[in-house]
Amino acid sequence: MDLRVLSDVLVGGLAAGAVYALMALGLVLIYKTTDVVNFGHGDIATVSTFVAYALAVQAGWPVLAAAVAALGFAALLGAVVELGLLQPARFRQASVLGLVVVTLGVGLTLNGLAGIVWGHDVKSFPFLLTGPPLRAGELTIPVDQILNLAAGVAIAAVLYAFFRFSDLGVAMRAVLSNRTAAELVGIPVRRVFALSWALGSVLGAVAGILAAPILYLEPNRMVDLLLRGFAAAVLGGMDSLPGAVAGGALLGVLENLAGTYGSIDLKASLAFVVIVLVLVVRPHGLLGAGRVRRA
Amino acid sequence: MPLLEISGVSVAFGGVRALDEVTLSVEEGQVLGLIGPNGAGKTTLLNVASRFVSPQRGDLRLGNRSLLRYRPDQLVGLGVARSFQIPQLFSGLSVLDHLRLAAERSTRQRDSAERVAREVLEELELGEVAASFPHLLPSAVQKRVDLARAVAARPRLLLLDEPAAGLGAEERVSFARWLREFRRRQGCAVILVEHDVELVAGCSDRVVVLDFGRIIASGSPEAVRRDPAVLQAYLGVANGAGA
Repeated sequence: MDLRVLSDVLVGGLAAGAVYALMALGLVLIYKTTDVVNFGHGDIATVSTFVAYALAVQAGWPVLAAAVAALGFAALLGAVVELGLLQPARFRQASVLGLVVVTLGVGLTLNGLAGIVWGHDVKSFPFLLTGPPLRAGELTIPVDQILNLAAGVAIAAVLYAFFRFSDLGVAMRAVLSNRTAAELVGIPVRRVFALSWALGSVLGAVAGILAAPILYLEPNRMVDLLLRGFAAAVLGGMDSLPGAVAGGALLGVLENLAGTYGSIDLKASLAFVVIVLVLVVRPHGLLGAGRVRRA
Repeated sequence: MPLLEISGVSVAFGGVRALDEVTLSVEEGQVLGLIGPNGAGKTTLLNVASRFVSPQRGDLRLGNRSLLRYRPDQLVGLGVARSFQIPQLFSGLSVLDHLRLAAERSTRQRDSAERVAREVLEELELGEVAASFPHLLPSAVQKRVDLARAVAARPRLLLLDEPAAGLGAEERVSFARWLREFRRRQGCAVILVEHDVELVAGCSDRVVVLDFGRIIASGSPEAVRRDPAVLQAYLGVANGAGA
């Protein structure tokens, strides 16, 4: 086995895994806070990435500024979905399944709108950073992979600090842990739900913007990324934020190993294999706490 | 004017009437004991008062405000706090964090919240477990954490749902002593839901008895214990000694 190839595969896998992890973090954050699996997550990421495309490519903004503006759009869109659709549905006693169907409807609507506004021809999306690859001994790391890794590590660290040390983060952890008790101590749970949707949507949009230069941009292109985000979330545990990070990294590495030493078909289907195997063998994932149900 | 006034409140879950035209009031600084058999509607009444359940009919007023206009998370700001029969705690937060969160919403200042949280920790003898996660503590201590969090909110009205359930005899005595002292010191009104009639009688100024969602007796602890309807419905006619 060529160690140089192996190290390239591992680093490349971790870089892809960082993007999966960001996608998974958004899904887990929303699910853990509100009990809703967001099937519109990929489409919110897609539309936000299209907004970045429109600003950077069509309006000529610097790509970083366009990306930041698109993240603001994603936050707003997430909050609007929660405040404008899910909260009224909850108020009318909609079931969790009903809320999940609302997210599916939101996703399909956004997908259709993206097709109407930007069309279905594949568009190239600019890299956020360009430059020569980093060379360390035998190892060569392209700059986009460095950006993915840096973004993944930095965002995970910021999220950790936010939840650990800030008043708002502690309040969000309280809602994640026990909604009734959180209301009891005066935490505005509905606002925390909206914040979770905003933050979760931003995380999905970051993943979309990082992946778009490689995947290219088209309304259905993020489906694969959403499925990998789901696989990472299920692998790590749907209720575990550290699990989402670990699941993303592991899935990225496994995919690259499978593609390099197995077949490209195996790489393409690995996410589905992971979802099925984890749900059968360890339904609460690597780091998830699981939910105890009375028999 | 009473601190809390509950007027004609009715709640039904499907076809089951949990509360039926319940009317009662609590004065400032008063301890109101609320007793009744299982399923009488005691916890439902606390859930209505803390806005987790909306009544189909009736009103509840805190001072001159109708509480029906408020959400549960807004009640701390109005001076209402509660504990639960089964402690509702945050698995990922320390005992100190529980109290600090509650105190922050009432004091609105971080330093004051820290001070209040530590005072309540000492008051309820929880200092040694301040850094512990509550789900790892014995159930009696978890109940005390649940109570301490409500106290840390510095309420004007404290709603206690079976705070002594599951406690040993010594812990019950200790709780009763604490409640009398707390009420004397803070002047806080309390609605105490409890099955232990001796404990309720020893701590309450007034007792209300619920049965099948209706008030069947109300008055001083002594008068209520002699009331024939109470003996019939709750204590058992044959032995009026207590339940």
